Amino acid sequence: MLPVPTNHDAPIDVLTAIEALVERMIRDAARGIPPSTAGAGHASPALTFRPLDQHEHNKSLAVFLRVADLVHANLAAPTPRVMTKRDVYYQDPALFGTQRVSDAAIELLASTLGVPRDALGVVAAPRGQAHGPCLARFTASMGSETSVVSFANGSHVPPGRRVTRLELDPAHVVAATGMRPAFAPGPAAPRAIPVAIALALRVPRFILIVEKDASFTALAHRGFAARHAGLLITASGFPDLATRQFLADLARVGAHSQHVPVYVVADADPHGLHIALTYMTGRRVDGSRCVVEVGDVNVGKVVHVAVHLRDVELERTVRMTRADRVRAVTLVRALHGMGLGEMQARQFRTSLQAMLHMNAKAEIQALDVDQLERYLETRLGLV
Amino acid sequence: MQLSHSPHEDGIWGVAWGRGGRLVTGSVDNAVKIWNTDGGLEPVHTFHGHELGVISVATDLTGRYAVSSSLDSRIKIWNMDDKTHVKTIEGEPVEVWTVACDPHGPHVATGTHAGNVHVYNSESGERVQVLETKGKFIMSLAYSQQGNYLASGAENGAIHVFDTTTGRLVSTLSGHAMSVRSLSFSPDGRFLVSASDDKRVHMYDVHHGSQIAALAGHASWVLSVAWSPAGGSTSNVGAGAVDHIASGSSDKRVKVWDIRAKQCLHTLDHHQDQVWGVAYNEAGTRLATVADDKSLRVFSCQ
Repeated sequence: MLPVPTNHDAPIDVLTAIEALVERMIRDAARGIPPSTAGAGHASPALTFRPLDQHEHNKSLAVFLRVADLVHANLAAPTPRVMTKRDVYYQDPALFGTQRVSDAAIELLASTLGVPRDALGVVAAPRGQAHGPCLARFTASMGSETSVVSFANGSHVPPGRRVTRLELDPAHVVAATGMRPAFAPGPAAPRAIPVAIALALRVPRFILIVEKDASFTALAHRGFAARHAGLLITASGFPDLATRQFLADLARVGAHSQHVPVYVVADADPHGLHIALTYMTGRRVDGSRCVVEVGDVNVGKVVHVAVHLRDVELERTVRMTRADRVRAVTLVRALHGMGLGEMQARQFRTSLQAMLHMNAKAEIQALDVDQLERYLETRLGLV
Repeated sequence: MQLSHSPHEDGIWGVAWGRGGRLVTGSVDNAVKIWNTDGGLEPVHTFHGHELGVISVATDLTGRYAVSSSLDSRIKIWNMDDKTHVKTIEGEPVEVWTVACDPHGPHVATGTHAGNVHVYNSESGERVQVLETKGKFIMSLAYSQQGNYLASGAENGAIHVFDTTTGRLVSTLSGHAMSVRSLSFSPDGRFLVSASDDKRVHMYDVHHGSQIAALAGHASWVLSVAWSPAGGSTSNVGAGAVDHIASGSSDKRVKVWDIRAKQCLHTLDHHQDQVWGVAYNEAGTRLATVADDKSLRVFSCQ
């Protein structure tokens, strides 16, 4: 049986389309006509490959056909599976040379057929990771296979699967080690779910997105998520599409249905604030101050809880660069188009202008891990 | 005696005195406000127009005009008598910072991120001079009262002094290794004081290019400094007059120093946040201070 493409908007049958395209290209080549991608779809300008010479090896044509072959073979298999872009590359590294080459061919095939890459059964491996005493139930993007993933020991976001349920796993919750001195109280943030309720309802107390890998790892190692029954997520900077999808699904099953608050921790610099804004608004500012939607993967209500420049000792701050300053001014000017509430917009405006005036910025690591924990415990109302 | 007001909706970054007891403040809320200080502290007018926060304000020698610079890269000139907007000078993006008025000519100067000083004609709005330091982001500027010197302080601590007539570099003053946030000349133009992130206030002999004093006392970045126009001149050493300078800091304090004795005379604790501006009036009888706590305070000096 031919599997149904995942993108139900695409009216075409991907397998048939690939077969037709490749057949035509080979027929043309046999007649001495340069094979081209024209006529197969309408989504991209046609690419014509160099005329074949009996003595010449046309690499780009070979790459394109090989990718078409791999995609077709997978989709035609009895149980097609989702492949990551890396998986595709490793099927024939000698031919492809670098992953960029196979990536480009995949994109070309997708745009030629007029379908999103996912419809080819190829996904980017999400860069996101999650850590915390939680179980997540997934269904496969292709087919109906379900799986349960525990994040207790940390795990990459599984590629090609969608979260359908998020649950606290009390077996991995560790007792908190008692009261610690509070950190500077800052702008009010909605409190995390109280411990007793979280345990009773089996939901995590919070979902915390950490902009930086290093800080995510540090908090994970110290058992922050286990002690406070929450879930840490990182996307390593600006989140890729697959991780944003994961977060959006997580927000839907966690935040929206179970009222688990979602927070983001970012560097106290223009880039970090931009990332926080992207999570909060589902919009991004491009270089010319234009605000663009980042697709239908809005995470929904996310609270920017840290790090605020004013909470960092001045000695631990560093000077802004020219690029930082340009970025900060661009962001301030674009704020009104981001769809923020008035108070939030004001807070960001104040933060960005303070950075510009003080000529200072700070990374999350300007707080040592102990300070960061106390900072989060205070802001999230965890103790 | 102290007067205070919390007029702006956000932090206040700049303050300058005008003629006849008038004060100008510039705030992160984009507004430039005019005040009367005769008999109390009264708001007179608010100028709108800047799109982003106001970095600094200055007044010209006549005291009639106020000049403001903003994060929106614009310099605006306001008539405080008529309460009108006179001119807007468009700077290059990110290349406008604090602004200073030439006491002896229709000029307005601003420091740039590229390490230059741009001097504009305030009547035509044209840029008439570029003074290059070949250094870093210029965070502070000051003209001497005589108008012959223009000093610039950079984010790496370097201070350059230019002769305004020839545009030539007269002195490079070293000593600070961190941002120089504010500069002020002595009334006779012979000395210069500087405020830096290294928590010190330095005093330099301009002509000889040498550092004379380093005042310690602030617990954090020193953001603003002003030399009182009152007191003795340097040729009257021994006449018993005291030269005062005032400094404002990230430690939220204002300090008043006897610059000759190199001692702190008073520490004022009234502000709740970083003190960005300190300014003496023409007679040196009053000191205005502004801070991130959104307040403006005026003290009388004895």
